[in-house]
Amino acid sequence: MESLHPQPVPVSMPAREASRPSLSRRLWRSVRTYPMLYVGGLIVLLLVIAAVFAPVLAPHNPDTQFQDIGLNAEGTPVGPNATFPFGTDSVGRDVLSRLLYGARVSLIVGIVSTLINLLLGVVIGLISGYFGGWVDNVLMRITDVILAFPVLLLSMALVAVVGPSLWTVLWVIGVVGWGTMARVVRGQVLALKEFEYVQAERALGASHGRIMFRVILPNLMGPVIVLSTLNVGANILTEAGLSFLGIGIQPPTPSWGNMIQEGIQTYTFAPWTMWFPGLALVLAVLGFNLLGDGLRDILDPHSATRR
Amino acid sequence: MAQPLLEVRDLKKYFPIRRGVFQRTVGHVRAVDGISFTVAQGETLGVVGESGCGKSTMGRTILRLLEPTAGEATFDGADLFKMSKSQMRAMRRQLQMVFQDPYASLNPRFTVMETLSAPLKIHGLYPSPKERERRVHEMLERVGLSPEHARRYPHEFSGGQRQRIGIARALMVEPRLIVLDEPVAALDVSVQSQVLNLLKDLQNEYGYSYIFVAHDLSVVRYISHRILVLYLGQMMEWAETDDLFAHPLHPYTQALLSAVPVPDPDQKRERIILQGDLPSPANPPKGCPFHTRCPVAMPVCSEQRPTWSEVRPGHFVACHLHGGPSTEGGAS
Amino acid sequence: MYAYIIRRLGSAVVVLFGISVVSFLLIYAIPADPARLIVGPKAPPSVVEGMRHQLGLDQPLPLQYIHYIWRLLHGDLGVSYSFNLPVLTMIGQRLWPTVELALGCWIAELIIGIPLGIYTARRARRMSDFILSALALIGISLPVFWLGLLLLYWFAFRVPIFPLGGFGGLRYLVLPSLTYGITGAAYYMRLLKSSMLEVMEQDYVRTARAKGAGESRVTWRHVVRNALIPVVTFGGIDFSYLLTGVILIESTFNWNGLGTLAYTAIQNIDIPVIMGTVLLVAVAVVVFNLIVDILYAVIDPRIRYS
Repeated sequence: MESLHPQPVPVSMPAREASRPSLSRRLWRSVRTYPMLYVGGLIVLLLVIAAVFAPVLAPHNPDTQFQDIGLNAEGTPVGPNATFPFGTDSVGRDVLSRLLYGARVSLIVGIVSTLINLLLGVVIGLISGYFGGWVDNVLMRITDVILAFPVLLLSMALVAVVGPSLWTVLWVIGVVGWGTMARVVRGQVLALKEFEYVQAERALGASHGRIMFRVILPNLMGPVIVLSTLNVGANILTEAGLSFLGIGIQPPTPSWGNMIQEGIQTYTFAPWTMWFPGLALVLAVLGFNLLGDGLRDILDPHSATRR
Repeated sequence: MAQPLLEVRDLKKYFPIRRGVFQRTVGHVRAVDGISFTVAQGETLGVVGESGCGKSTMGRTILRLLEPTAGEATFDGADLFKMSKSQMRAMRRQLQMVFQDPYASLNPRFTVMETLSAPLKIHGLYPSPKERERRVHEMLERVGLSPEHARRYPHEFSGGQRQRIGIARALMVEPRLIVLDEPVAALDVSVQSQVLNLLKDLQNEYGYSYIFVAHDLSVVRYISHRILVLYLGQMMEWAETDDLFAHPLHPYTQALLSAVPVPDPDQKRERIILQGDLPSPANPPKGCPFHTRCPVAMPVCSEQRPTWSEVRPGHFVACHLHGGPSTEGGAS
Repeated sequence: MYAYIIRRLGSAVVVLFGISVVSFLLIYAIPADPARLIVGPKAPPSVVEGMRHQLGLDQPLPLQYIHYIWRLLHGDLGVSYSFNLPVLTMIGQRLWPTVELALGCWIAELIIGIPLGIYTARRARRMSDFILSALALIGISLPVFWLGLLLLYWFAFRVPIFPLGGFGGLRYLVLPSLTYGITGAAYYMRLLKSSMLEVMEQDYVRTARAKGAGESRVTWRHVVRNALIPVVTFGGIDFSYLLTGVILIESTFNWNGLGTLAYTAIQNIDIPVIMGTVLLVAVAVVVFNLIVDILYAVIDPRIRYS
């Protein structure tokens, strides 16, 4: 039914909504456009569920050693079966249950250490890029120093000195790995501070704090989110590497890295003891890498940090 | 004339050129090289020149978005260049700026409401959110937008509308002087006149003073009371708009004016085409900076910098053709 | 350009100074008492005090730092707590195996990564590009130590083509290098691909095509040559990742290099050895990046003024 008289077009949302395709249609189109984002997001979501609901999902206690049904007559691990879907390890513990609890360690270390990287990197990069001059010079040389140490090696040394534990690993990776973030943020700030809307804030008489945190920071979020997502994957790998070397998460607390280490003794006759923790690790890191790349396509399409 | 609102005296802004291991300063880009002028209450001063002549730098330096190298800028009796950073911050209530690119000058993440209430928050005006909102709505109407626009983001507006928002932002704190840095250069011609009319109307109603920086002479002619012509960071001519257009004295001004299209096709006019490129402001020519391209250059022009002299009341020029009373009656 | 190189050298010296401060603080500002570690937990306090004095630990921290730098400049990295050997000698013995492994890993990365990068760039947006790009993402996500164990399982244990780890001739080098090559090649592949796609859009490439140059001539003469520049820069950044990978690979393959040395030192809390290796690696990273930057400035004049 059309009116003869031109009427003002209502600008309320429902009117526009109605002309759009259905929600599931739009979701499917979005999945087709950004497959990496959705696949990565799904993997990360599953990982989070596994970690949060580990006590509910795990068929057994991760530390219980099933000396009877968990080991063969020769005392070797039992392969995957109905009771132990992913088999048992050298002392008869359920591999699946340990994997689920191991997800907790990976996620906590990966995410919290990334948050520490993020905080240090953003603050240092922001101050460095915004103020420039000698401040920039000093902060960037400090960043060069931290970047000169390979994250794993410096973490190894620090953990060796402080003594291994979940909290040490988490802090050490957090404090060591902020260099790249600081560099990227600084580069973005250098570009952003020449923008006229930043100059306009200065002309209004805004304080440095307001310009840095209210004006520049929100416009940095794209690359920062992308880099942080990729960073979670990298930090999970660093934690696994440390645990694999025996200087990260200490047994009996399950971590995918120390499970692989323990699997070395049994993998010639019970390869599942090593395969499953490795696969879990690959999947988790892949999830964050996919999510990061997918987010980059949306948030930061002209990124120079692509590598 | 009454006491001017702003008096700029011998303003200089040099950018250092650094080279070598210790980044020693080996020279300067003389973006603004000794400029003096006054702006009265309610007056528009047009500043024109080719791109790279230092006109934008001049505007930004007066507002201390760039730190001046030398000179004075007395605003309402106080020297802006002697103020501390915090004094200057408070001073910005009275001195505002409108930027060239309406696409780059608005933060894409702020709604119009956030953009326009920012100046109020920064200067602690209208502490209650309700009042601020009313004030923003008021200002949107003043610049020809509607209060409903407050909730939208910059990308939902056209270039002309964005520039109105940019103007509204500058007006929020009720400033007395506004530096307009090529405010219509990025807009379509049809929209330009709307924005220019808005600026004129606002001035008539509220008595703002403008420093209007532009390279388009017809735009400047339309809005300015007086016009200052710059070349390589130096002053060439300064006069009332009508006087300047009727009797341009400096060869550079004459060349600029000859390039302005004339509405009457029968009116024949010789177009002066400047030869050569703009010299580098890092290494300006000796004597009169314009002598390398001047069609009527004399030997003295490459030797001596011409004096800045008031040839007629209110009409200043720096040219050896019009250098002081003794040579009066020279070519024009 | 000389000014740029000298400035770059200057900043490298500043960074080296920073590195020495960090490694000094790690040794001396730790909760564990090195003197106690050396003399053992049962030694009487007087012996511990004596050792503290001998190590200079009773001096103020800045003074200790000056001594530390002085010794460093004379090539004295201290003496291992557990082996009672000079750290420099121990590092010297393990240096070559690590250099060999690192070279092997780097070559493997390039051999896998560069051809795949060229291939995917020429087949961009086709099925083979899609599959290889997906594999590259998986490659990046693989933990080197785990991949190393898998390769050992299949190609040394089940099908014994290669030795089950250890350091020796070329045969010993294949699996460890391949391990790193698979995980690292993806970076080179993706970088070269995006760089090539960018270069292919450039006017000079269009001009070459318009002049009637054949597709393979365009690819090799114009695109690949120019697209390799960012790849070379990444080589500098990659050096630090390479060393991280090497540490883990050495441990997986029982390779008797610096990584294993650091690892054993960490097990024994042999702090001088830990710090010696960390310091050496950091210095190597700085020097390597310095060389890359200088070479880069020589090749590409635009860099010098930025």
